[in-house]
Amino acid sequence: MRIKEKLLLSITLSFIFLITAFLISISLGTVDVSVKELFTIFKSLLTGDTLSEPRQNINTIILNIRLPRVILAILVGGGLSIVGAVMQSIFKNPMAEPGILGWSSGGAFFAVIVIYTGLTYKSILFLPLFAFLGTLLTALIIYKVATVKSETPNTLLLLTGIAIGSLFVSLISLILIMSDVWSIREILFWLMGGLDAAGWQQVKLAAAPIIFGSIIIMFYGRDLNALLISEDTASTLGIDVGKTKIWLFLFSSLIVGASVSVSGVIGFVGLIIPHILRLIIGSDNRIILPVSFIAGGAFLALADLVARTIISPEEIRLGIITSFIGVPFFIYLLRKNRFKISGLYE
Amino acid sequence: MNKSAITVKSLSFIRDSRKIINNISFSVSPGELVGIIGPNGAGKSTLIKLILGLLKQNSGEIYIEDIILDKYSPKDLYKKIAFVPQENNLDFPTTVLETVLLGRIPHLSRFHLENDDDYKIAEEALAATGLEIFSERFSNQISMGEKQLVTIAKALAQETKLIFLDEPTSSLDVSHTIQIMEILKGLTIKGKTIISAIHDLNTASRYCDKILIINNGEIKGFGKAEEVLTREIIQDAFSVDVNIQCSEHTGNILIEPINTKS
Repeated sequence: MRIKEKLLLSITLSFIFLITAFLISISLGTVDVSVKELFTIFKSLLTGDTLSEPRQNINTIILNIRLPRVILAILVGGGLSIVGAVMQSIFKNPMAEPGILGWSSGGAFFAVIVIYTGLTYKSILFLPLFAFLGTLLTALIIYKVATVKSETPNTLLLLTGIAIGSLFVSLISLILIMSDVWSIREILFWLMGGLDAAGWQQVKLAAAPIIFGSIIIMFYGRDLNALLISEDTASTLGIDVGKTKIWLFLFSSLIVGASVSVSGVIGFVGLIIPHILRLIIGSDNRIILPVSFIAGGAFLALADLVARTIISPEEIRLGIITSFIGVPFFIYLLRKNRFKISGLYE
Repeated sequence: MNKSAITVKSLSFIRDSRKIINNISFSVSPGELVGIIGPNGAGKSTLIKLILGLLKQNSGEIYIEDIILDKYSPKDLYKKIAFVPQENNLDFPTTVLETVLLGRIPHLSRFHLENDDDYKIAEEALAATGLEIFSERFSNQISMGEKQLVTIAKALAQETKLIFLDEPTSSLDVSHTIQIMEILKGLTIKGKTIISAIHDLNTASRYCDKILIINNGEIKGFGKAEEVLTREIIQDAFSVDVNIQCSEHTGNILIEPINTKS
């Protein structure tokens, strides 16, 4: 199959998955709403019809609670997955994911500072803003430290990321020791990642950087394909490897920053989604990048659905769910004979 | 004026105050297969990277088809020269055809997907390297020798007049070595100019039109095999005593290392 057909087919199929996941996530919860009712609500939005009294309550649940939450799940899941795909290609390392570079730990550290110092109570915007800027700052520090004589070797960058990431984790632990019980609870809650704080405000905050960053990244698919083989190969195909890496890191940190700022640290999505997709559709990044976004978004929406419904009205942390769903499925795929397509996945 | 494929004039490259390439000059004519030989660390890869524009020299000039290297934009340069690096990571599941299609990158803009012509060129490159049947196989499911052929096919799909290779046969068995060298030789007959670092002296002697011997960043000899593969030059470059014979079968020079010269 040629690239055009393959791209079209993969995007269509993943989009169907996303729409299905979206509808299921919107309709299920403490109050179940049928798909038919959903359409009535969406239709009333468009036509401006007033709904009957019980419908209006459902309307509020759907439009003010579930819709922003599901949209945020799609954005965060999509963003983290696309960044995972980028990292794995740049580092030619299947273990690479947004967390491993230490960015998220940096973002988390700054968020924890906000909680510890009580700044959270001053403005609800402080926490996401610090997490976002903290992630960008950490990415910048790591890049600077790993750059020697205007070259940034991958191994140095990866190890610097791991080292600085660990430092931030230690600093977070230090703050935890010094915190009172309430702050500890709040910090842990935040570190485990979740979308329970999701509202339209969070969507507004995260949407622009995640969507903008992801679209830009999608145009680097071919460059990443060449980088996957070797940097010399990419250079001798006319790709400016240094610049390409800087742009990709910049937009990736933008996406991770925005994700961490609204959902805390959600692991595993960025690692597992691109791998599952590669097992199914191969490694062409021009397909992997957009499909990672769409399928990653759908996956996180479904994972969040489980998180908020399985012991309803209580919630389980989303990070726990992503691992619980992701790990067995991933191992199943790895072991299934049909997918033993490569040394990497054997 | 006779157009040269590559001209290198007084090229020097210094790293960490050590001269890796020291005042090298030579010229390669179109359609030649030139082997660069020399001991490990002699500067073979550095020389290739300088000519490819991957490293920047401290002094001297490089001309590709009589135009100075700095005048080329990256896209234009890599429509003229292709590179087959020594190490390639083909561990992620991309198909052989997808890998070969990467060679089309200099010919395509960021916003265009490969069209039928690009596929045709890639398929021809696969045919030229005998890889047609592997087209849909994953690059990580094939042998080392086949992987090397895939990267050569990628270079062919780039449709350049010049191809550089960095020790393409260093980790291959004898049958793949012969296969690859025969392909390279065949390409020069079709008009391509090929420059390859080669670790094995006998392979170089058998297939190369000219041999460039370097050590410590300096040229120790440049010319036809029988002119430069002499006992004295090899001793000078490799610090090894050799016995040189003429093959009864091919008429090529055969080099048999005897012992290291202290």
